[in-house]
Amino acid sequence: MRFSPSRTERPRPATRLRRPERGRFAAWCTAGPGLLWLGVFFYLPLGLILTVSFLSRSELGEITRPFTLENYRRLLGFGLLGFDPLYPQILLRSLGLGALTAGLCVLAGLPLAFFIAGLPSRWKTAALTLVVIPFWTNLLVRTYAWQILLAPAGLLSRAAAALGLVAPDTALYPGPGAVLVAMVCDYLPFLVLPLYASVEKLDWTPAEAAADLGAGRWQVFRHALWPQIRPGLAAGAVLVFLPATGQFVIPDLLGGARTVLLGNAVQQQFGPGLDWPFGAAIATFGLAAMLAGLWAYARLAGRRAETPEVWA
Amino acid sequence: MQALDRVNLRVARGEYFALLGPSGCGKTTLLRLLAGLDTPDAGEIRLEGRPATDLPAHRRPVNTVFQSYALFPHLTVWDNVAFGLRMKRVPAAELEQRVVQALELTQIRDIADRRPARLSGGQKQRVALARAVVNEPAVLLLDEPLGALDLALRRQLQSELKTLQRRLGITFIHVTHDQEEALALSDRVGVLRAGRLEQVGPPRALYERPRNRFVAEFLGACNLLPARRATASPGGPPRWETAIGPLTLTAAASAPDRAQVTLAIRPEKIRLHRAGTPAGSHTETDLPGRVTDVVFAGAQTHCQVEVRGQTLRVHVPNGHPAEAPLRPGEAVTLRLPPDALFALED
Repeated sequence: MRFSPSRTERPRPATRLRRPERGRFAAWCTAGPGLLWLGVFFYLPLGLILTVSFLSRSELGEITRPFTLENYRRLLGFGLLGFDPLYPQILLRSLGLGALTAGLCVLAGLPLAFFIAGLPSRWKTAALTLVVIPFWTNLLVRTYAWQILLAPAGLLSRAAAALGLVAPDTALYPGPGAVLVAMVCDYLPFLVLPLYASVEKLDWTPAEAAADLGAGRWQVFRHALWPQIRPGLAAGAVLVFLPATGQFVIPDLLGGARTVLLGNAVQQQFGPGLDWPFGAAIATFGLAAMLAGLWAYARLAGRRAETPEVWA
Repeated sequence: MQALDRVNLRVARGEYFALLGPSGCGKTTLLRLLAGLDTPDAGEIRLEGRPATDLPAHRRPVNTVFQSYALFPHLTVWDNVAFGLRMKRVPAAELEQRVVQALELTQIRDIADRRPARLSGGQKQRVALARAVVNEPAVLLLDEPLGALDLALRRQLQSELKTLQRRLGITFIHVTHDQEEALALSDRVGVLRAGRLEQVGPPRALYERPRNRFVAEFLGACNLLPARRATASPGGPPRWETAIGPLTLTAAASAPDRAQVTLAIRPEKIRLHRAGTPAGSHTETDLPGRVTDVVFAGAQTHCQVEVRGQTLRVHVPNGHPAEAPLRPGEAVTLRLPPDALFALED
């Protein structure tokens, strides 16, 4: 009773923020430029790519009719010479690289996020800055730097040899290991930042309750902490997985230019291959595969969190 | 900073023990030490006669009802209650039977499928209780379990807690800052102040014979009278000289062997009679006074009475409705029963 605000204590309408409900004109003015930009430079080209992917190529490399599904048949491996798994392999390899990168980033990022969140507050900002600093350097520069570091006579190779981890004079570069090291380094911040946001606002009382009810360390993490950090971790993993799947510069420069990935394949068809319809089909298929993955994840996550839980 | 200092406490099996104290006195710290959520810098904790100081929380035969309930938001009521049994890998059939039993005991079987976000405060409280007692702990710790609930619900859950404790025979250690709650529920109360146990005893003993001023005033309203020892008649009880006149203590309220003490009496123990009535006829031990303030408080009327320049608080039970209410300015006589007076250490 005492705490219910009386009529006079309520904020008067004049003091409220003006709600933007009236005036579609105002809405278009504010959202319009952004929408226009996206429409002209993103959705329109995307529509063109989609259309082109259903067209054919002439002898000279021009885009012509008829509309056909041939590009997608070829992509799935049904070529002129019977079944050829080349393109399915490329697709799977790209998805695999993206998933592996995301997985390694999760393994590396989880302890890091907890470590930073546990630091005294004045060190937190410094630690987060250190996480982000690699971003300030150009991707190519960073990748070439890895070439030097991982070269047979490079610092890391010699250190690894000295520790007996590898045989002397073994090159850590080029190879799949070098690719993964660079990929994880480049994409780790995408995972750590959203994950850190979750870890920072963790509510530890469920953890105490779980321990009180007989849960050991691992069970406490799984039942009391994991449900809280899962959204942040998933967001981070998606942010790593998507660009990592399309990445081809790092595998090219550190993998020895021997593996073809989704990105190279698209570039190949649009560039020297002069087969825009097929290149468009590869691009569209990659996009569709990622969208399907995201949709499946959203359904899975949405079903588990059926009640609007707020962990504040 | 020292949260607890030289606390020495022994709680018997099956006892309902209340830890009472103002906020920040260390009662929650003591509870967390018992639960194993914090470790003491010095000292020893024994549970069921065995040393438990170094036992981690999940290996202690102790469960806690947390102040904020700390339910698992992603689990249903059923899964919340079943959590402890699952951690102990209790077989499915037994688990189901015990969970149902705990849900019925706390009257929440009909909401077993809900998640905590869709529960009221009272329901959350019951889930927290069921989740703890289902494990049949040796000791149940309750940290301000009713603090967030409104008064009516609090009183109802208090009586349910008491019934539950009697039925299960589990040792309850209940932390609260509500003295009424502590007095109503417990077999014994321990009063904590700034990390020290001031007094431990049954509720009635603490209320009627508090050791010092802090305990006396924390458990309820109190009139304090500085007193000086007067020369006693040979063989008779010692008399004390106060601002309102000489007072005598009964032998039970053994006064400390000092020249100066503080005497105290609870407002409801003072007998008030209207001047001019037969009961109000003046005798030697009666004190004439004048009512200065009257506050109606339901079952009682709270009066301030001036006696020889001193103001005493007197709580008068509200009797027959036809009786004319007391009015400020009215002349009254007060009688302070010697067995209701007690001496304080400081």
